Amino acid sequence: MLKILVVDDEQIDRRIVEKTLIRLGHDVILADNGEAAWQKIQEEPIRFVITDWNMPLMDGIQLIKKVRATTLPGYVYTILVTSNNKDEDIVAGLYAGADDYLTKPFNPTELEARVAVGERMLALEDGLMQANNQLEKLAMVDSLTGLLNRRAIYKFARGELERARRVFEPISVIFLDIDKFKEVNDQHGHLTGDEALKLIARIIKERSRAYDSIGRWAGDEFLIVLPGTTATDAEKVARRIIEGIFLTKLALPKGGLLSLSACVGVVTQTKMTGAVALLDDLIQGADEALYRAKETGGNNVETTLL
Amino acid sequence: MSINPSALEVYREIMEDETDAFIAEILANFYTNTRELLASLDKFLKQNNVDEFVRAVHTLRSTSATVGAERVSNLATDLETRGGSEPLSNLLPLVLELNEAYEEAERKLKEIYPE
Repeated sequence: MLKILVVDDEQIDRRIVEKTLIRLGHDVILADNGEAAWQKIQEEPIRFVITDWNMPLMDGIQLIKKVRATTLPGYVYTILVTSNNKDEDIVAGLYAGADDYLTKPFNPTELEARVAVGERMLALEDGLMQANNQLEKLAMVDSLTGLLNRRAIYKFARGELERARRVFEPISVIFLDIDKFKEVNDQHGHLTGDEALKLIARIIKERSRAYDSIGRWAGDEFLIVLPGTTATDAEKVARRIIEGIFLTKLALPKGGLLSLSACVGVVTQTKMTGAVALLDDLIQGADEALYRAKETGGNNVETTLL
Repeated sequence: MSINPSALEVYREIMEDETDAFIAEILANFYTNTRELLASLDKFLKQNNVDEFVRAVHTLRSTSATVGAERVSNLATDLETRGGSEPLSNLLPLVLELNEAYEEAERKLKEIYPE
């Protein structure tokens, strides 16, 4: 079962495709021109589009070109519907990025078969993406933000903790969480959410020190390891970062600016003799401090000493 | 033959027990939309609005083929081709023929699929 976007300015043709797809068990979203369709693609995770060629505002070819030119969360399979008009050159359509085509009036069983082909292609693509994700896990970098991924930052933090013990230096860990990130995704779409994450990653990098290590812990959470850093200095770094986030606005695709803020939990390990905390204790301490910061309403820093 | 009945019957395999209601809905839309479209063709001819005229007959070509109204579809195809290259005023006789073809198609469709 797929979610399929059907784009056609002609009501009858749209209805025929819609009813046929519903009958085949798919979920259907409708648009009556390319621009409306493009809006929907940006707002929802759509992986399959069946679009007419000739439409007002933005035609099928322009829509497909826009889809192909944009980095979307997953591959979007497109079927171009043509009226077999001399101006509708199907070769040009395929070169523009259409995966397949249908000529009106089409047999519904042919539509069914071509949708099944598309499903197979998307399954292959999902398989590739999963394989890529596995590779990414083995690698060190979070592909969206360019920061260390969770595995890598954890490993790095463990190394820094060991070093801190050996040389009797303090070590601090910052846990940062974006305020109301779910709302950002819900109100502005996941593409804007991704841009917000990239922006915040950049601000953290700019406002931390060269020898601090930054990783994307999960979703909208970031972990920063500050070797040789006291609680006072770690708090200064944390406040500098959240101030930077608070002052920077994200330009929205439809116009307007989005304000962002974040909360931070800071933990500092000072007891380097005797019972020294494990890394997991350190991270838990930072998480608890973060929770306290969230309780204050957002855009705040809380600290803990271990 | 002005109507090809297999054009709508192809939906039977997929729509099954919903076929009759589905065909009725498609035809009801077709009758309403086509009458509006034919009225607008007159207007576009008088205004000499080539773009809108060609867009309208392009739509009619597609929807009439969908319901099996082949003569209507063929005439709409001619008008679409000629509308792009000849003065619209030349096309008046063909537009009249299109209107007649539609009246006949609607009559025949209602015989095959009574409302």
